[in-house]
Amino acid sequence: MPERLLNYVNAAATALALPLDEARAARVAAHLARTAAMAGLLDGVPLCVEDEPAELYCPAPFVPVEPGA
Amino acid sequence: MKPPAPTQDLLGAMARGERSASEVLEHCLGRIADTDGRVNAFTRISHARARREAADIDRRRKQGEAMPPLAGLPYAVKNLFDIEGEVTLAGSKINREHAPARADAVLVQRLRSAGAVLVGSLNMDEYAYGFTTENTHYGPTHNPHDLTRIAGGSSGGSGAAVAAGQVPVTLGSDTNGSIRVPASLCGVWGLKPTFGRLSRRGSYPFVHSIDHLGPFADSTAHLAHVYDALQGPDPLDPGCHALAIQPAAPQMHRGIDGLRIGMLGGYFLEHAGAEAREAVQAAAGALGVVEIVEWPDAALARAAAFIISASEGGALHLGDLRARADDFEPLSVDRFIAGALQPAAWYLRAQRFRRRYRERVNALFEHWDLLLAPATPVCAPMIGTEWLEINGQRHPSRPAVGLLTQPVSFAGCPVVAAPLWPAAGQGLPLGVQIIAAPWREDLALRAARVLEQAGIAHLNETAL
Repeated sequence: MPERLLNYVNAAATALALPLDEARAARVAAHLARTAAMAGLLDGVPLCVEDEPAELYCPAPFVPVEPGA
Repeated sequence: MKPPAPTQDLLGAMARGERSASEVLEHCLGRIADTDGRVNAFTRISHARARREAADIDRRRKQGEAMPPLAGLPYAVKNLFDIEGEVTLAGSKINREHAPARADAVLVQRLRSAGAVLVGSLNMDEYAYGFTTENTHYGPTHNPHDLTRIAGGSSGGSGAAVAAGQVPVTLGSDTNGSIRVPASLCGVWGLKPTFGRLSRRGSYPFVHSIDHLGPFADSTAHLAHVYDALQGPDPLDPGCHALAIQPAAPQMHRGIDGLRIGMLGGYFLEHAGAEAREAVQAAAGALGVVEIVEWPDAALARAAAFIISASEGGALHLGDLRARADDFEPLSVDRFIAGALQPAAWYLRAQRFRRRYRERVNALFEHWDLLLAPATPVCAPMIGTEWLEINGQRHPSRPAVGLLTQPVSFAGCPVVAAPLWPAAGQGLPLGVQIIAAPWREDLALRAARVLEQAGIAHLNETAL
C-alpha cells in the first residue's frame, strides 16, 4: 500500500477528529487503495464543464405561474 | 427438491372463507418457531400485533365488510423499517439505544391499509453495508437451502424468511443489490422498483442518493399485488419521484408478445460463473431471446456506485465512527471509515458521471424493452468465505457478490429477480435479473410471470 495513502488517511482522520490506531489506519488505507483504483477509472471518463452532478435538491415543487401574475 | 405447495391462491382461499387470516398467521408463526432457530431470519416477532391485525381482518370479513386487496396476507420487514413502538435496529448494536419509532414506515402503513398482517422484523447487514448478512451482533442468517451458506444481503433475513416458508412476503431495501442478491441466493422472487417509485419515509437510510425499497415474495402474483399496494406519491420523501400509482398486477396476463428482449453480454457474462451463465441462458431460452446486448459503462458505473455508497454511508455515521467505532460491525467498520475519509473530488466525479450514464442507459431502452442478466456471479458461498474465483479471476467475496447488480441500480432501472435452479448449482438457486426502463416495472413483472408459468423460475422446498 502506498505510504502517501496512509499519510492521507491519518491527515484526513485528524481533520475530521476521527481517532485511528495504527492497525486500523492501515486497514482503512487498504480499503481506500481499492477505492482509489475505482476513482482512477472514473478519472479516465472525459467530462466537460457542463456535466453537472445527478440532481436531488429541489427548492420547491414547480408551480407554473404566468409572468406578471 | 420439489416445489412447495403453491401459495398464489392464499388470498383467494381467505376471500372465499376457506381459511381465516388467523389460521394463516398461526401457520406462519408455527413455521417460524420450527425453523428460525436454524435460519435466524427474524430479529423480532410481533405476536400481539400480528394476532390483533389478523383477528381484525377476520372480524371485518365476518361482518360482511368490503375487504382490502391483501386482507390477511402475512408479511415481515427488514429491521430498518420503522414499526410503531419498536426500536429500528438497522442491523446495528448502536441503534438499540434509540427511542422506539413513533409511527410505522410509510410502506408498512400502506400494507396495513391493504389488510396485510405484520409478523415481525428481519435480520440484515449492519446499516445495509454488505451483501452477506453475516451480522456479528445478531448472528448470520443462514441460507434455507444449505444452512452452512450465506443468505445474501443486505436484506438476508427478507430472502431467507420467504425461502424457508415462514412468510409469503417480506420487504427489504436495495442500494447496490440488497434485494436482488438475497433473492438470487435464497431462490425467491424480488422486485427492486425504479429509483423514486416507492416512498422511503420511515426507513433507516444507507445511501440517500441510491436507496430503494421493495418486496420479496413466493410467487409473481404476491409480488405484483404487494408492489401495487406499496405504490403512491409521497411529497414528503425528496427521493420519491412517482406522481401516480401505475398498477402492474392487472397487466400480468399480457405475456411478452411484442416485447423486445435481449440478454446482456460483456461485463455481465465476464463476471458470471458457470451456474450464472446457465441460469440466464435458461431464462433467455424460455423468453425466446437470441440477441446479446452491451450495457454501457458497467464497470465505470460499479466504480461510481461504490464511491458514492462509501462516501454517503461513511458521512452518515461520522459521529458514531468518531465516538464509538468499536460498537460497529467488525466486518464493515473500516469500510465506513474509509468512506468517511474519501476525497470530495472522487464523490463529485462519480455523481457527474451518473448523469451521463443515465442518458446512455435510457438510450439503450429506446431499442429494448427488457434485458436479462444474472443477479449474482455464483450461487451462495459458504458463511465466512473471504475470496471468490470467477472465471479465473480472484475477487474479495463480500463485495463481489454484488458485481452484477450494482451497475443496474445505479441507473435506477426496475428489476425483477427471478429464482432459477441451474444444474451447475447442485441444488442451490441463482437469480436472473429482468431489467426494464425506468417506470416499466409492469413489463419486468409480465416476463417474470411467463418464466413462472413455464416452470423455469419458481421456489423450491427446503429440507428444513
